[in-house]
Formats: sequence, structure tokens, C-alpha cells
Amino acid sequence: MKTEQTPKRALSRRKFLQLSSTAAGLALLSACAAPAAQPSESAVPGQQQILLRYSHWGNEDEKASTWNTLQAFMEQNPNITVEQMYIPEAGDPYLQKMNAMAASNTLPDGALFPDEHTLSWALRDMFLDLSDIYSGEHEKVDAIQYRTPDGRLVGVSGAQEIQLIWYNKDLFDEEGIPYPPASAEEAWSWEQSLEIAKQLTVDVNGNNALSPAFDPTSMDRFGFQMGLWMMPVITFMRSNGGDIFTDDWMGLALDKPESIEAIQMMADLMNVHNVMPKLTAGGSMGTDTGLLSRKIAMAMDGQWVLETLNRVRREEGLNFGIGVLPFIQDKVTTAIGGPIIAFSSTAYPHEAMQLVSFIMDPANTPDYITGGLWMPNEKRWYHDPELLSIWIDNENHPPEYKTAVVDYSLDYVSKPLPNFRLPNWPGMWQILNPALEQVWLGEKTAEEVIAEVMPQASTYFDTEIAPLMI
Amino acid sequence: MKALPADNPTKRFFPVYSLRRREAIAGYIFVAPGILGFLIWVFGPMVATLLLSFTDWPIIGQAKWVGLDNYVRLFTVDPFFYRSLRATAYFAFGSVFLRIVYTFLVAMLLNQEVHGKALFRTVYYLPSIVPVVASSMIWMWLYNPDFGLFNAMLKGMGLPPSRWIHGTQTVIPSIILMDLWAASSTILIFLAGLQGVPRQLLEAVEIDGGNWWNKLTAVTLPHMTPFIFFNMVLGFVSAFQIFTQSFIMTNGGPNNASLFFVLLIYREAFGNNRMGLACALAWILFLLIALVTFLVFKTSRSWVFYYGEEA
Repeated sequence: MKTEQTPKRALSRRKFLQLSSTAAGLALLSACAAPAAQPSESAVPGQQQILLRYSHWGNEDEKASTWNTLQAFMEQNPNITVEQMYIPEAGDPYLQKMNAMAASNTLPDGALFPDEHTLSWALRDMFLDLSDIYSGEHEKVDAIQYRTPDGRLVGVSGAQEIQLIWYNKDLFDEEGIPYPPASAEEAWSWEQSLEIAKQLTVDVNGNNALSPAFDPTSMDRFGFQMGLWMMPVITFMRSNGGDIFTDDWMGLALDKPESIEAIQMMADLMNVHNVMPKLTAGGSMGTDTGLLSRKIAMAMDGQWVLETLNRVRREEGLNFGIGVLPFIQDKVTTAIGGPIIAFSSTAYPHEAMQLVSFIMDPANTPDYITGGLWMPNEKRWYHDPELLSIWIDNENHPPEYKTAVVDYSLDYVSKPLPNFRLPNWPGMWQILNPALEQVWLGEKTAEEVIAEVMPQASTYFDTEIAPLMI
Repeated sequence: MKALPADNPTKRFFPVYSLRRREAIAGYIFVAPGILGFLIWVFGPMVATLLLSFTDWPIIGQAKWVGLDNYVRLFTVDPFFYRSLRATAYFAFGSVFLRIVYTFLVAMLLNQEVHGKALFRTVYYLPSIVPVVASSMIWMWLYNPDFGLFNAMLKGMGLPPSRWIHGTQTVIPSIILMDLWAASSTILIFLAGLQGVPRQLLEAVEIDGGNWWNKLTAVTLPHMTPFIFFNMVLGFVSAFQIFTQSFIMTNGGPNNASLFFVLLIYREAFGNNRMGLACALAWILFLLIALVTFLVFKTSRSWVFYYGEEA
């Protein structure tokens, strides 16, 4: 069939271009409109319909789990609609988004918030005080409460996450070495665990770190690994009776001999004993990859890796186990977790707090709790046998979990980490970390480095932290 | 259907202008997107950052005018400023000069008439289509001090292992090496330039009994100076803005040895909420790049040769 040369063509090309560019322009303009939380016609007669926005980070599974929780909330509160703002990347990119929204007055009502910036924001009155909703049966675990110097409770971690030892059981079986202890009572001392780590550290010729023929320049497997970030570093400093800050948070304890000694002991794992990968800044090998590829025998990592390790167990058959941390002087672990907060800029403080309190109730986040990603943030979940059973009696929580994680966290979680108490803490770590890196590299001793960094750290503490602590 | 008269003034929506005027209007309309884009997205923010650089603005909360405080702080007490400046300059000068020598050599090789020329050219170009984030992840493994390929190679040759990106002395050379690997766009520009070197001049050298060295120094290099100049300017502009590699692989470490300027800007702005200070840093970087570019231009008169221009 012949195509007609159509004289009745509706649009000339010029006209088409004009129209489509106008349309595109209008579309762009309409995208500029601020997402206003306007109350609309109510779904429930006689009640105002309220729109709240909740933002969080996490992977796709967490996105889906969070959506389930938000839906459950909306079913309970038909007059409230919650919009999920999902920002995939944690850390700085997430904080940037928060900053941008703060600058443009478009902050959501509730949010999962980057832990180390929480106190700085709280001191600028960005968050609501949540003390009222966390009383009675909803009393939260002590170590994960974000408190301002004047005592306001501005947030609690969605989950308590403690540091533990993770290991490949098959590897220990093959080597005929006992598993890392799963209860604090039997915890290995630093020396004991170093000895085990040496047995498990092997070069490419099959010699372990105790053998005179051992060649530390061609490694096949390391006995131990820990990330050299704030949490493990402070954990072992505290285990040796030291710390970065004094107990009342009003000064530095970094130059105490106990603090310095602990730093040196960690560095020696790499540079003297060769039982740990020599990695500094850039990320180390993930616990899952390390254990699965058998490049790492024992890894210190947070409870949050349980979910990933469970997936690797299902998909690749990794037979992993959980143990408590070795100790230097005191048996100690630490807890962390990003807080769930309500922004003070919300138009509906009451409903925003209702939402936060709902999400913060472990019963409403079943996927997180039973899947292994979160330890409950509420005290009663650690004591009430019924709740405890919901949490740990499933295939995602191995048999040793009760003693190695639940009981361990009850008795051995030390005082909160600096991000729960100190504003401007990230700046302090920016000063300390480069100094510590020289120790990790073996370029200087802990004693030298701490002596060098103390003046700068003290100045920072006196000018950026101490004035805000009163 | 009856055609309308070709030019019916009563049907016109716009008044009639002269052709010249109409062309001028059309011209402005056509350049408008570019000009407006520049004004709104580049020039406007630049002015804003200049003003913000004189303030203390924590993003959350109001900006407070502090005059030159941010600049004074950077040049006197800031613990990271000079380190960052040194790391960036080290990287920029190291990478630009090595990049020019290396890419020039590779371009000359790729300009030879050999079998599989297309394959070689493709192989050298491939790295530039790999996103920096992805290549950084791969290089992290290559550079792994314990299990990485590079240390395995060194060991195979009987050489001592290196800490690569995990050592204070080796981190910048390591990032430069990685940057060279991805320098294929520079190779491409040189390759294009080499094809424009006048053949008759090369032949003239041959007739006069000159060898390859005479051809290179008397003909090829002089003709390539505009390309070297161009690549040098572009190289400095981008090298001073290096960010991704250290952001992904080292986070500025170890001991701030790879705390590049843009990484510092990013950290101050979005990590420490000191937007005013970050804007001051950004302006210092802008002026620094302008200065280096100016110097390269200034010296170019004495070494850049344009064919056909009187010496």
C-alpha cells in the first residue's frame, strides 16, 4: 500500500518541537514544587488526614521490611499516611540529603539518622525529646540512648549492635582447634587468643605463625581480623582500662598508659605477630568473604553481619559460629546503632512521635529481629522468655546465640560510645585516626603518636566539644 | 482545502521584524539554553559560594557573616589544609608529567602500521569506559598488600612487597599509576595529533639522511607541542580536582597522605557541616587552578609551535 503524502498532517515539525519543549519545560517547573505535607480530605470521617514522611537507608530487603512496618502503622492509624523516603546509601551521602532537606525546609517527620552526627544536630534543636515514649515496658537498652549534655533523650538506636567474634567452624574442625568460647565466662584472654590466631595463620607453604620457617610476606590465611575503626579500637582500649575520653566525658583519657598499651597491642597483631592483614584506611576484606574464602579464620565484627552470614550459609554453605571477644583486663564489648529520631520541624509532633515509637517497638519490626540484622532495642526482649523466643528461636540464630550474644550484651556492654554523648565527635576522630594509622603501619609506636597528637586533640576538645557539654 | 496566502500579516501572532532582527532574535534564543545554563547552574552558584565563604554556615541553622575568618583559619590553624595542598600538588605534578610522557609514547606506538592495530587501540581505550568507582574497587584488590596481584608479581621477581595504597609514602604514586592506566582519552588526542604531522616534512628528513630520532625531535615533537599544551592544561585542571580514587580506596589516609583537596572540601561541607569553610576551600582551589593554567599559558609562548605561524 502506498503511503499518502498527507496534506492534513496535524502538526508541523516546528509546531511539534515548540509544543514538546513547552511541555518539557512545564514538567520541569512542576518538579520544582516543594513536596508539601498538606492535610487532605480525611479517609476517616471527622478526622483530619495527616501525611508523615519517614526516611531511612539500607539495602533492598531493609526497604521492603521498613515498608511492611510503615503499612502496619497505617493500618493501626487510618488517619495517618506515611510516605517512605528511601535513601539507599548510608553515611555521608545520607547526611548530605538530610543537610539539603534541612537547608530547604523539607525535612521529613521521622528518620533513621547517621549516628555520629546525632548529638551535633540535637544541640541545634533539630530533634524532639523522646523521653516520654520510652518509659515503662518500652524502656530501651542503656548503651544505645542518645542523650544531650542537659539530659534530653533525642533518639535510641533502632537496634543494639554489639561487637563479636565470627569464625569458620569447618576450618577449626580441620585444624583440631577449639572454637572461640561462646560465653563471657569462658572468654579467651588476649594472650590465649593470640596463640590460637598464630596457629591459624598460615603462609603459602603451609607453615603457621608459630613455625620457624613461617614467611610473613606470602600469606595464605590470617588467624584474626578486625576493622581499625572507632568501635573496635575503643572496645579494646576499654578492655585494657583505657579510653579516648574520661568517664564523665569532660576530658581526654587517650594518653593514659592503658589506652596507649591497648593501641600498641592491636598494632602488634599486624606488625609483630603477623596474624592480621596489614590494612589501614581503605576497607578490609568483608567478614563474609574472609570466612568463606578461608583467608580469615576469626573476624571481629558487629552483630549486624549475622544477616549476611546467614545468606552466605544458605547460598554457599558457610558453616560459621559466634564467639565472645577476647579480653585484655576486663571483659568488654560495645554497642552501636543509628538512632530513629523525630524532627522538631514536623508539623505533627504528636503523630511523628507515635510513628517513631511504633517503629522502635521490636514487635513491629519482625523481619529485622528474626532475620538477624537487628538485636532488639528494648530491655524486656532480653528477659521475657516469650519475646526472647520470637527473637532467637529460628534458623537465623545459631544455638550459641543465647550465651554469646544475648547474655553477653546484658552483662558486658560497656558505657556508650562517644557518638551517643558527644557533639562534634567526628572531628575528633578525624584528628585521631590519621595518627593511629601511623601505628597500624608500624611507622611509629603508640606512645610516640599519642604524645604527638595530644596537643591537637586537646585543643579540639577544648574548643569544639567541651563548650557544648555544659 | 484551499491554501492560505503565503504571508498573511493579519494571521500573524508576532509583529513583523526585519530579517536581520529576526535572525538576531533566533540566534539569542538558540544560545539561550547555554547562556542560561551557565548563569543559573555555574555562575550563580559561584557567586553564592564566594559569599558563603565569608560566612559560618552549618547548613542546619543560619549563616553568620564572619569576614575573612575562614581564610585566616585555613592559612593559620587548620590542621589539614597544607597537608591536603601538598598531597594534591604532588599528585597533580606527578600525574600530569608522567601522563604526558607515557601517553605520548603509547600514542606513537599505536600510530605504527602493525597487525592488530585496531585491537591495540581498543585495548588502550577500554579503561576509560570503566567507571572510576568500578576500577577503584578492582585496583583495591590489585593493591592489597597481603593477597594482591602486584605484590605477588613483586615477590615473583624477588623484590620486596609494597604497601601500595596502604602506605604513607606509596599511596600517591599508587594512585598516579592507576591514573595512568585510565589515561586513554589523552592517548586518543595525541593519536589524532600524530596523524596530522606533515608527511612531506618527515620524508624530507629521510631524504636528508636523518634517522628516527631526527624525525622525532625535528618534526614530530614540534608539531605535537600544541597537543602537549592542550593535554597539559586539561591534565592540570582535572588532576587538581581528583577525588573519587581516594574517596573510595583510602578515605584520605593513611595519615592524611591522600587527603586531596576536593576530598577535604567534601568532608568539611558534608561531614563536618562547615559549609562556609568548604566554600573558602573551593575558591582557593579555583584560584589555584587558574594560577597553574595561567602559568602554563604564559610559558607556552616559548615552547608551543603552530605550523604555518612565523617563528
